[in-house]
Amino acid sequence: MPLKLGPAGVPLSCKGRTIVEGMDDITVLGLDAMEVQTVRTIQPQHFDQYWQAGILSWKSDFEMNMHGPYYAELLGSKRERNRTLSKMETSLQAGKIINARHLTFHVGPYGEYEPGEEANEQVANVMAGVVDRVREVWGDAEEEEDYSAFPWVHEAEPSLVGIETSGRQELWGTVEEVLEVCNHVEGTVPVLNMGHIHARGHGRLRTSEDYAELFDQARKTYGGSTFYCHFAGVEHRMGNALHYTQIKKSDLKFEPFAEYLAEEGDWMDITIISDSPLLEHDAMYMLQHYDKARQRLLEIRARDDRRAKLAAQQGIDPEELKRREEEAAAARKAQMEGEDPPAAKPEKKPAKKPAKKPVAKSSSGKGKGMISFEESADEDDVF
Amino acid sequence: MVCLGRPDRSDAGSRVLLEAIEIGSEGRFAVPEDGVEEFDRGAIDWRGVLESSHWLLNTSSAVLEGDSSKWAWGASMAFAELEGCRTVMIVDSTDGNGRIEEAWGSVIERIRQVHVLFFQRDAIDEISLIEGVGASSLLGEVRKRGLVPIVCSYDARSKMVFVEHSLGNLEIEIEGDVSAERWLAEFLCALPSTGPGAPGIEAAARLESG
Repeated sequence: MPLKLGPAGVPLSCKGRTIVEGMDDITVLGLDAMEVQTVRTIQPQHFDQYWQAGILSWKSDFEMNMHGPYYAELLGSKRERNRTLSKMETSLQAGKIINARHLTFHVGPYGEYEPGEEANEQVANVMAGVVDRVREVWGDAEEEEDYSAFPWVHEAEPSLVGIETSGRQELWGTVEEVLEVCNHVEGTVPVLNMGHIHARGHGRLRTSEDYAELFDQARKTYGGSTFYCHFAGVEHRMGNALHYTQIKKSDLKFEPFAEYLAEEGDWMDITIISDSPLLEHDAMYMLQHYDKARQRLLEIRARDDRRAKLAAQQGIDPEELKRREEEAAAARKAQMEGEDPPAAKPEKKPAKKPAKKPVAKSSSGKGKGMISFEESADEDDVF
Repeated sequence: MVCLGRPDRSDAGSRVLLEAIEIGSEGRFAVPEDGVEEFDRGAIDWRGVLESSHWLLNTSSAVLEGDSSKWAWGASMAFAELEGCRTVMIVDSTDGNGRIEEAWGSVIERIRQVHVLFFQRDAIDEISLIEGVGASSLLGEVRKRGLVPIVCSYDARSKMVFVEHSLGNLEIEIEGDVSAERWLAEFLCALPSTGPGAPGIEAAARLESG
C-alpha cells in the first residue's frame, strides 16, 4: 500500500524556514510528504522557493501538496465566492510551480443554503470549475517553452483537487457531503481530516472498526482508492472542533488508524499529513505506530504460514492443527497450574475450564508459575 | 509565567510579565538581562525554564530580530507544547517598517501552538488589511480559521475588552485606568482560577478576581 506521511508546513525543528530546507529535514526524519500552507497572500518572492521545491520533489520521490486559503466562502454571496476563488486561483498557480499532487480546499459556511442537495450541487459546480482551471494551467502547450525548466507541468498529471471535511456544524463538509461531491466531480479527492470527522461525529473514531466503517463508506460512495488525510489531536465539544492538540493529549488516537491501515489498507493509496501543533514530531509518532502495526501483522502472518506448512507436512487441515496447538497450549497451561489444585480440580471435564480459572486467580497463585502476558492473551483467544 | 523577551525588556511580552510579577505572579525571563552579546539563544534549557509554568509569553515581532531570536521563538513554543505550558502570543505593530506580514505569517505558521492570541490595537488594522477582513470581525475570523482557544484585544482609550473564545464572545468595558499590558497580565493570572467556561473567561476579562 502506498502510504506517505509528512507535516503540514516546514518542520518546527528546522532551523531554516524555507520550504526546501523543510523538505531536507523531512527526508532526514524518514518522512516523504509535505503540505505547504498558503494561508496568507502569496507574494512573488515565495515563487522562488516554490520552483526550487518543485524541482526537488520532481527529482526525488517526495510528495508535495498545497493547502489553499484557510477560510473560504464558496457558498456565500457572489462577492464572497469570487474573493475565495481568487485566493484559490493563487493557490493552484502556486501548486503548479511546486508540483503539488493535491490541492486542499475548504468550502466554508453553508451561508444561505440549507445542508442538502442544493448546497452539494453548488459546491460540485464550483469544484468542477476549479478542476477545469487546474487542467487549464497545467500542460498548456503554448507555455511549454516557458516552463521547460519545470517538466512536471507537461509530463505529470495535474494536481488533484482535495475537498476537506469540516470540524464544525455550521460549515459545509460532513463526510457524506464531501464524498458525494467527490463522487460527482472527476479530478477531486476527499480530504479526510480525522480530527474534524472525530469532532463532528462527537468522538466517533475510536477503534479500527470505526476507521473500517469510514473507509467502507468512502469506497461505496466515492469509489476511488486515493485518499488524502489530515491527522491531529483535537479538543471537541457538542460536535464542534475547539482546538488542535498533540495526538497524545487527545481522545482521537492514531493506533486504531494504524491498525486498520496495516490490516486492511492494501487497496488504498493514502497520504497522511500531520497538522498537529507538534507537526513533524507527531508525523513520526504516526510512522512509528504504523510500523509497529505492520510488524505485528507480519508476525501473525508468519505464524499462520508456519502452521500451514506444518499442516501440509502432517497431512492435516491447518484449522485442525490450530485446534491441536490450542489444546496443547491449554493442556500445558493446565499442567502448570495443576499445582494449584483447590480451584482447578473439582471442575468436571476437559482442560479448557480449569485453564480459565487460574488466570483470574493468578495473583493468589505461586510466583513460579508466572506466564508471559502474550501467552495469557493467547489463552483468551482460545476461549 | 515565562517570557522570552528582549534583553532590554522593551517588548510587549516583557512588559506583560513585569506587570504580572508586580501583581504577585511568579515569573521569569528566558533571556538574561545582561551579558546579552554573548548569550546563545539556541542554548536555552527550555525544559528547565518552562518547568511548571502555566503561560509562555511571546511577541510576534521577535521573529524579525534575526535568526537566533527567530529560532528561540519557535523552539519556545514547541517545548511549551511538549511541557504542557500554554503559549500567549502578543501580536504587536512593527512600527511601520513594512514587515508585519512577515511577523504575522510566522504566527500563522504556528497558530496551532497558540492558546491565547492578543492583538495590540495598532496591529489590528494592519492585520485586517492583510487578511482581507474588517477590523471589527478580525478577532472572530482569526479564531475560526486558526481554532485558537482565546483571541482577545484591549483598547486602553475606550477601555473596551474584546474576547473571542471557543464558547462565544464578549465585549465589555473595564472600570478604572488599566494599560493593555496590565489588563493582559491580570487576565492571564485570573484565567487558571476562574475556569475555562464562558463565565470563567468573562470573570477573568472583567478583572473581577483581582
